[in-house]
Formats: sequence, C-alpha cells, structure tokens
Amino acid sequence: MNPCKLKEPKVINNALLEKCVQEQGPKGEAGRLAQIEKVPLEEVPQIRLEFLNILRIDHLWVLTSLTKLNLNNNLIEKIENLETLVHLVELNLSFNKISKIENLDELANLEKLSFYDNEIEVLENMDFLTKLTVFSIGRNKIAELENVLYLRQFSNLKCLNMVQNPCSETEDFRLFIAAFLPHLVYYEYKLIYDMERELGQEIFGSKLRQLLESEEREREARMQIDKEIADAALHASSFVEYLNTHHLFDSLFLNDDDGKHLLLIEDAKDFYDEYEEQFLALCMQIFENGQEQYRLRTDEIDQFMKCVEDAQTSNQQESIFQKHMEVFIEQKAEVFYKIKGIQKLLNNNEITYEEFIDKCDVLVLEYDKLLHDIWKALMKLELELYEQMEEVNQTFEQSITELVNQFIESSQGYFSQIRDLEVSYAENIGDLALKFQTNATLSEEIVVPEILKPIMSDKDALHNSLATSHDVHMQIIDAREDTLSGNARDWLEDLIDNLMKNEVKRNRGKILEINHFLDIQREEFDDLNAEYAPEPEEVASAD
Amino acid sequence: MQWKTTFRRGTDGLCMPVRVRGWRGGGQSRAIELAAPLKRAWGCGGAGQSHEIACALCSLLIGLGYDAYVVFGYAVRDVTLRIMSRVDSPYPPDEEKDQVRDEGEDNKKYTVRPPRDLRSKFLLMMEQKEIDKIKAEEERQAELEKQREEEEEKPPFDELEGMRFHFWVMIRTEGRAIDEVTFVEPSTGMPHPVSSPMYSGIESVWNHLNYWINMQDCKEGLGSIDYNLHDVTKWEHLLIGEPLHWRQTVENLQMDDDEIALAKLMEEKHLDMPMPWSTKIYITHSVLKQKYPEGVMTTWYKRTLVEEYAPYVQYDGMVVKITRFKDFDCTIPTRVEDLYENRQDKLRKIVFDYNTQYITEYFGPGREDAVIEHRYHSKEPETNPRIIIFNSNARHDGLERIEVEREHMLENYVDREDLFYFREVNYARKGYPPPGFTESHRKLIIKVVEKFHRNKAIPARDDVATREFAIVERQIHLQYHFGEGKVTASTRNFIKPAIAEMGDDVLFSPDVTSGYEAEIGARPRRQLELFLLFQKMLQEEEVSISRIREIEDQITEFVALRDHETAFPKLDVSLFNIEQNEDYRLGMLEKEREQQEHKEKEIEDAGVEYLAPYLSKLGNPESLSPRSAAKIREECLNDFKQMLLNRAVDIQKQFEYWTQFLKDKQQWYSINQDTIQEDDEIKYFQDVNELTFLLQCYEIRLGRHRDLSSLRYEAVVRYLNAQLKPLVDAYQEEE
Repeated sequence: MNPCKLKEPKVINNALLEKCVQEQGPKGEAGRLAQIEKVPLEEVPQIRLEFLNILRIDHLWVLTSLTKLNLNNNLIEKIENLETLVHLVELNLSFNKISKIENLDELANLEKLSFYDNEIEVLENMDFLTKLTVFSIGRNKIAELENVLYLRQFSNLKCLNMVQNPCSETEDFRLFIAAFLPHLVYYEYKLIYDMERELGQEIFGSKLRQLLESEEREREARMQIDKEIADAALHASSFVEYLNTHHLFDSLFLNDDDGKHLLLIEDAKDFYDEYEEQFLALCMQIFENGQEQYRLRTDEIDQFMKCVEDAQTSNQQESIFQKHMEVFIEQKAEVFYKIKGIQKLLNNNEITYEEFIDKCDVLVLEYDKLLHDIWKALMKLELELYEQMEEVNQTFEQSITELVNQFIESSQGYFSQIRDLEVSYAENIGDLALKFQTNATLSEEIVVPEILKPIMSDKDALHNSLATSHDVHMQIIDAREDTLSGNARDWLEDLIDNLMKNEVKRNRGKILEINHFLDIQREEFDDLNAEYAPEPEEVASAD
Repeated sequence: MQWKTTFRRGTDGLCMPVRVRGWRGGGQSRAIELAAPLKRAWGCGGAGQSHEIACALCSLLIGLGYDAYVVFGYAVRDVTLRIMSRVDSPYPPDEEKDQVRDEGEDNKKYTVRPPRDLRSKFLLMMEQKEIDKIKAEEERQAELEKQREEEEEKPPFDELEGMRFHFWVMIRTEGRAIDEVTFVEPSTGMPHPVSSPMYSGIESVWNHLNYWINMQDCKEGLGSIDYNLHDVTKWEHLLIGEPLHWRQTVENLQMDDDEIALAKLMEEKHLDMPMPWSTKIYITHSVLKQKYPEGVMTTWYKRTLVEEYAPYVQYDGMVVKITRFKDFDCTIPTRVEDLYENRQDKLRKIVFDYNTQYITEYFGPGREDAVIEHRYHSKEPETNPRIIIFNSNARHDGLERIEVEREHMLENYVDREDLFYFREVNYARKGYPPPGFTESHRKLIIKVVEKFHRNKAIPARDDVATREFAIVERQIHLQYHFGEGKVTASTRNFIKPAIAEMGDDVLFSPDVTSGYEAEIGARPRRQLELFLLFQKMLQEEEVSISRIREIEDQITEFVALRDHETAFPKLDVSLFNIEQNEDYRLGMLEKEREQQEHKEKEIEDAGVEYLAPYLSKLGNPESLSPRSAAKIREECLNDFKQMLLNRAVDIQKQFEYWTQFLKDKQQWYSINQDTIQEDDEIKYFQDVNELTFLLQCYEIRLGRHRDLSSLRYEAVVRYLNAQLKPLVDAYQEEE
C-alpha cells in the first residue's frame, strides 16, 4: 500500500465512529446481539480512536454518554469540541501535537487525564477538574517549576508523571514534587516515601512556608465571601435578606442628595445618628422575626412531609405486602399453572378440544375475576390515599398560609414603625432646616455651606427639597416592604401550587401504573392462550 | 437490692459451705467452739446444728465488717427442718423478653385520617361480646388454677407451731452499709426481711460484745418490734455497759492521753474473760474450692430440683442442673436446664424441653464457628428443623441464622455489603428425584430464593429484590424493588436453554426472556443488556449453589463437632488453678524432680579425682595390690597434707607482709604527720582502712583453714578408702 496513503490525515465522522464502536464492542454472542440491535452512538460508554492520524477533534458530540475516550497517537493540535462529553472519566490525548491545555471546563467528572508526549508549556485551565486522580504530562515542554504548584489544588490527585520536561531535569525535582504535592502518592508510577517528603520539605522549607501562608490567606478570604453569599441566600429564603446590615438604611440616602446636604446643618447629625440607631434596631427586629418565622415554617413543612411520607409508605405497604399484590401474584401463578396443565393434557390428547375449551373458559373467568378484584382493591386504596392527601394538604395549606400572613403582618407592623420614625425624622430635620434658614437670613454670621445654598435660597425650595427627601425615603421603605411581602406570597403560592400539582401527578401516575400492570397481566394471559384459541374458521365450521 | 448483691458476693464460697447436708432441727446449747462447726461443715461431710452454723456465719459477717448478731428465737417447721420445697428456687425460669417498641414522636397535626370504617357496628359489638365472654371464662379458669396452687403450696398443719426454736443471724445497719435490719438464714445463706413469716419470735440476740434479751412481745410478728438495741426498755443487756463505740464519753480534760486510756479501760473492765479457746480456723484450698460438702448439693425447691456442683467436680463441667416440674409433687418434669462452666467448647447452657422435645444449647463467645445457639429435636433431629444461630459480627459472611430441615434450608444474613440478607433452598425429597434428574450423595436442589435489601444508590428498576433460581425447571426469576410509591415492581424471567446448548457462549434470543416494567415509559431493555444480565445470573447461580454446598458442609461439620464435643468434653483450666490444672501440676512435679536430680548430680560431680594423677603414674591399672594401694594412699595423703600446710603458710606470709606494710605506713605517718597535705592525709586514712580490712580477712581465712583442715583431711581419707577399695578388691579377685 502507498505509504503516503497510510499517513493521510483523517477526520472523525459517523462512519469512522460506527466502525470503531463495532470493532471495539462486545464479542461473541453479545457481539452478535449488539450487531443485530445496533447500539446507538449516544449510549456507547467508551471508544478508542488511536493511530488514525486524526487532525481535529470533532463529531464526538454524538457520543453523549461516553466515559472513556482514547485519542492517542494522532495529529491533534488543539483541544476542542469536547464540551458535550460531560460524563467523561478518562481522557487520553497522549502522543499528539497539543500546545495548550484548554476547553476542559465542562469535564468535571474527569479522573484520568494523559497529555504524554505533546507540546504543552504551561499547566492551566484545569480548575474545574476537581476529581482528577491520575495525571500524565510527561515529555512536554514545561519549563517553569512554578507549574507544579498549579497542581496543588487537586486534592484527589494521587498519581503524577512529569518525566522528560525541561523543568523536571533537575536532580531534586522528585523531592520538590514530594514536598509541594502532599496528597500525591505516586510520582512517575513509583511510591513517594515519607523520607523523600521530609527531605523535600527540608530543602524547600522556606518557599513552602511562604506558599502555605499565602494560600491560607486566600482561603480565608474566599471563605468569607462564600459565607456572605450563603448567608444572603439563607436570609432570602426567610425574606429578610440584608435587613441585619446597614444596607436598607444606606440605600435611603444613596440617591437623596438633598437629604445628605441637609445633614450639613448644625445638629442635624444628631438627629441622623439617632434615626440611624432606631432604624437599624427596627430592621434587626424584622430580621430576627423573619428568622424565627422561617424556623417555624420549616418545622411545619418538615412535620407535614414526614406525615405525608408515612401515609404514603403505609399505603404502599398495604397495597403490596399485606393484602393485595402479593396475593394476586400467587393466585396468578396458580391459574397459569392450571392452564399449562390442561394445555399439556390437550397436547397428549387426554382430553378433547371441547373439554379443553370448557376448562379454559372457567379459568378465564377466574382470571378475569382476579384481575377485577385486584384492580378494585388497588383503586380503592389509591382513592383513599388521594382523599387523605387532599385533606392533609388543605390543613397544611391553611396553617402555612396563616404562618406567612402572620409573618407579613408582623413585618408590616415594624415597617409602619419605621415609617413613623422617618416622619418624625423628617419633621425634626424640617424644623431644624427652617430654623437654620431663618437664622441664616437674619444674621450674617452664620455661614451657609456652598452646597446648601440652592436649598436654602428660599422657603419654597427648602420645603420642596425636604418633601423630596422624605418622599424618597418613604418610597424606599415601601418598596422594601412590598418586596418582603411579595416574595413571601410568591413563595407560598409556589409551594401550594406544587403541592397540588405533585399530588395530582402522583395520583395519575399511580392509576396509570395500576392499569398498565393489569393490561400487561391480561396480555400475558392472552398470549398464553393465543396458541390454543379456537380459530375463527374452525368455530364457523363447528357452527 | 444493692445490698443483696454485695452480700451474695461476700458469701460465695465463704458462707455457702455453711449449707449443710445432715441438717438436724433444733439445737441445744453447748460451749461454742467456733472451729468445730466449720470443720464439720467442710471436713466431715458437712453436718452442723443451727446454733453452730449461725455462730459461724455471724463470725464471718462480723469479720467482714457487718454489724451482725446471732438470734435465738422461734421459727416455722420448714425453716427448722430446712424444707425448701415451698420456696421459689434461686434460678427463676427464663422469661420471654418483651420487645419494647420505640414509638416515635407522634405529631397529630398532619397525621392522615384513617379510611372510614364501613363495617357494621352491631356485628362488631357482637363479636367483641363473644371475645369478652371467652376471655372472662379464661380468666376464671386461671383464677381457679391459682387458688388450687396456693392451696397446694400451703404448709401442712404443725402442732408444734411457734415452739420450734432456731438460731439465725441478724444484720443491723450500723456496720457495713445496708439499707435496713435484715435476717440471714444460715442454713441457706439467703437474706430475709424482718417481717418474714419464717420467724415467729426472738428470745435474745448476741455477738462478741454483749448479750441482749428481748423485752418486747413478738405476737404481732417480728416486723413490728424495735431493733434498736440501745433502748434498754426493749432490749436488756447482760454485760454491764454498752459496746464502746455506742457511747459518747465525756473526757476529763485535765488528764493526759495515757490516763484517759487507762480510765477508759478501767471503766470497761467488768469481767475477766478467759482466753479464746477456739483454735485457729484453717481450711485447705482444695476443700474451700469444693464449695459444697463433697462438691455436691441437691435441693428441692418449689416445683424445682436444683443440683449444684462445684466446678471441676463433674467431668463435663456441669455446675448446676435445674429440673423444673409442672406439679407440686415433682412428678411431671417440664424442662431441664444444665449450666456449664469452663467448657473448652464454650458451652454455657443446655435446655431440654419435655413438651417440644427440643434441645437448645447456648454457647459463649469465642467459638471458631461463632455459634451462639443451637436448637434441635432430641429424638428425630433429621425430620425436624435444626436451628443454628450465629454471632454475625464474628463471621466474615454476616451469617446470623440457619434453619435446616430435610427438604428445606433458610439462611439469614445481616449487615452485608452486597445487601444480601436471606436465602431459601428447597431440596428434592430423598429417593424421589424430579424426573430427568439423578440423585448423588448431595441433596438435590430444586429451587433457591435469595433476597436483597434496597440499594438506594441505583434506581429501583435496576435493583434486584428477589432472585429465584428454579434449578429443576431451568428458569431464573428476578423481581426488582418497588419504586417510591409504586405498587408494582419490575420482574424478569429467563428460561435457561437445554444443557446441550449451554456452551461458553449461550445463544440468546428474545424468546428466552420475558418481563414486566413497572416504570411506565421507560426505555425497554436492550437485548444486549438482557443477555449480559442473563450471563451474570447464570454465574450467580453457580456461585450460590457452591455457597449452599459450603453451608451444608459447615452444618454437617458442626453437627459432627458437637457430637464429638459432647462425647469427649474438655474443660479449660486456669493457669493459676492449682488443683485442677493437671498439666501444670505434672509439669511442676517434673521440674522439681529435674531440679533434684540436677542437684544430686552436681554434688557427685563436685568430687575431684584426687587419685587420678597417682593412678596414671602406674598406667591406670584395673586393679591394685594392697601394698601399692597403701603406698598410693600414703603418697596422696602426704601431698594433701603438704598442700594444706602450704596454704596455711601462704596465708600466714601474706598476713605478715601486709602487717609490715601497715606498720611502715603508720610510721611514715607519725613522722610526717605535721607536714603532709590534707589530700594525702585523706588518702592515708583510706589506705589504712583498707589494709585493716584486708588483715582481718586474712585472719579469718587462717582461722577457718585451721578449723577445716582436719575435717578435710578426714574427708580425703574416707574418699581414698572408698576409691581404693574396689581396686584392691579387684586385685584380690584376680588373685
């Protein structure tokens, strides 16, 4: 064959995939079955595409349930088009021409990864491969020792190979690895001894300490942020997010320039401080109330869920074990056994066909009765359960609605207190401002700050700005209140809707299941009898 | 209760021996000789009177720190004659443990209402009435039976009621902590409350401190009288003064300690008591270990016969044999319980039930096969179920219980990783193999059913709950677990192809399998999947069968082992048990003998062949003429004498040399006394000390040499005579 032809680059296409799947699929009888059945590409669990001179990774999106992919010994230059293979556990890209690690973010399940004999210079873009256990990057072009530190984040990494890289040529590279990757068990497929680790820690001690310190700082900062986000999420489910902070109060003055300017008046700061203190106290009360109410609601839901689960389990137990299903299965087996018995008799010509038909009829009737009985019993149980569930759902709905309303009302109470506070603050500031204005107009001694001048120019302007400031504040408070009650109501509605929907769905599913089961039973029975059913012609001739 | 246990512990082995065999009622007073009853109890077949054993027990209790007294009073006939047949045995029958169910916290709010009861209330009421009636009848019968039993258990009329006197022991609360005043019956070792109907009156009590006469009326029973011995109106004491520690003496502050002590002593001195005449009690270890006279005690309790043995008395390690009877006259046995100790096979208890004819053996921990219970029919073990219960924690396969019958075997497992928990095996009846099968020496398996717990990690439709290998029918039935809220579960049946077609690769076609899918709309299983499942199940079937065979072997082995263990029981003996540890004792004897021999040999070897050099001069002849013998003897003795002399001279020389040395030293010191350095002076005194010591040693050695020389000489003479005699005799014989 033409050697050039042998080395001709190829592309991945359906035909190639199918060929590989077939070649690498099960052998023997299983292989025969696989061939007859044609296992669809989206169910193939693993595939090897090696020594094929493939230039570009492509067309693999069809293999959606792939867990193991071998693309070694090809001509691939770029990692791409692997985003859809989210189930991938093993990926082999060794002996290619890849120069950059990229596009692996979606492969979160990846445990084994090999880039042996490529042209990679930097370890990067692997942050999401948290399950990485075995990693081979030997015979690449990694020059910087710092790249090793990138691997510190993989706490599951047990086995590493970095042989024949520029950075790994140094003598104590192995010790470096031992010191800086404490989770690693094997390097270059050889066990790392405690001795090596200790030696490494000795040699690279100072650097290691620095690294650890900085990592510790980073981790703390990250945890702080995580905690804040988690708290906010938790508080959001109790509808009082950020009410335990200055957030709401700060937002009052955020876009209220006039309000801020008015604070420049002498003594205004005192009012402001007092206002802030009381405002925050009330916010805190709302917050605590919200948390408390949230706890009550969760308790209520937990109780409800437990009871529902108990009821459903006991119902299931009753339908299956105690009375119906198991008994039915037994009786069914009996009827089937009898039928087979008389069929055998017929085959041995011990009874005539007429007798057989008579006996069959009796059994058919018996079986019909069985089916009817089980159907009736199961449906009755299901109906009971449905009624029970409906009732208990209603009770739950009532009490949870009550709880939510209670929460909203109590919050509204606090909000009206906040509003009162705002009103009195506005009055205080207004009085103060008026007094200031009067004083300012009367005596020249009082210096009006530049920024206050437009407001203080005349009475109307002052009134206007005071009113605006007050309005802005009121609006913000109202908005927060609306958010709170709106969110709570939405949540409640969702919960109840889902409750109903789920129950209906459950009920329909169950009824469908019962009928489906009985249909199957009937079919089975018919299949059994079909062979021996009187043929229509025969019946006609008999008539 | 707390007290009782302490007491029993205290009495085990100590008071128990006081239980006597030849119990004679009543008691006459005689001089108390404490050692006598004890000696009799242990030594002479264990006989004693109530007075003696009460004294002995009381002494023991006082010795253990209890505030104990001997009581002289009246008791009922059963007590004075030690008739136990109206007393409950100390081994109560095992009671079925009631399972206490842990009812979870109820929350009523959302508990669903039970479906409406549509049954007729009237009919229910009638049914209930019927049930009540039967119950009432049963209760009446039970009541009658109880009355009859009580009647039966009443003691017979006793014309000497209240006149039979008796001695027993009272413990008051002032010594070692007990809750209330209690009586102890010395003939049984059992504690009784003061209100016990066994005792009807008290005349007097006494102990080593005093003698108190009861001044109270005992008609109301002993429970109602006061046991405060301090109260002189109720208890009159015989010796003047109360025991020391009952009193609070006011000390005269002017006296010093000695005077106080003397005053106290004089105050207490009422009577010169004779010296105690009781000999020191000595009981040999082996007798103490026997626990009962001859190591055996048989007691008839109420409906129970208890035979108690000391450990190692019975060859099979039995310590208690309890026979329970149905009737009061003990004619119809219902149950026999044997308790064992120190068994090497860890057997603890065997229970034989007369009603069911079942034998149950209980084992302690430590058996290699981890069996803890074994139940089988005594007469026909083959046809009735045999149940073996294992300690599943001690077994790697988690096996907990096997029940095996002729055509049936059930196995239960717990806590297995593969969630397997139950297997049932059906066998063909022996001699009736199903058509087309031939029987081998193994039982032929018809069907195997195995059950698994739900594995939450995989969906219900892939989680097998039950698999049935119908081996004779050549079918495999699988049932999967029920999904959440589902009333039907998926099933799957396979029909195995004929044996002829079963090669490495079974041909698979859709006909061989059928199944029901509980999940509606689920993707039907592919043929390939089904084939793989089928292959897996075929392998599993083989594994299961080999496992069953293994279990069968284990059972057979176990039964054989039990037979062997029953036929040749072996007992564990503690390393420290002197009496029973036969190996150890023999070993000790052997060692002692060896040591003795070694010593003797050493003594023999110690003798030096004084004669050897002289004999070798003559070329080690077989015999010697009397003349040459005399010559050798002479030479030898001369040499020996010379040696002794040399040694004496040598010691003398040394002694003189060092004396001179010391003298020189002293001279040097007396001359230079004023000029020498302090260090040198210290050194000088040290040297002088050492020298004096050395000289003393020489003196002693010389003295000893002088004293021993003549003895040694004589010894050598004796030795030479003894050694030369056979040679001379040999010479004369030659002559």
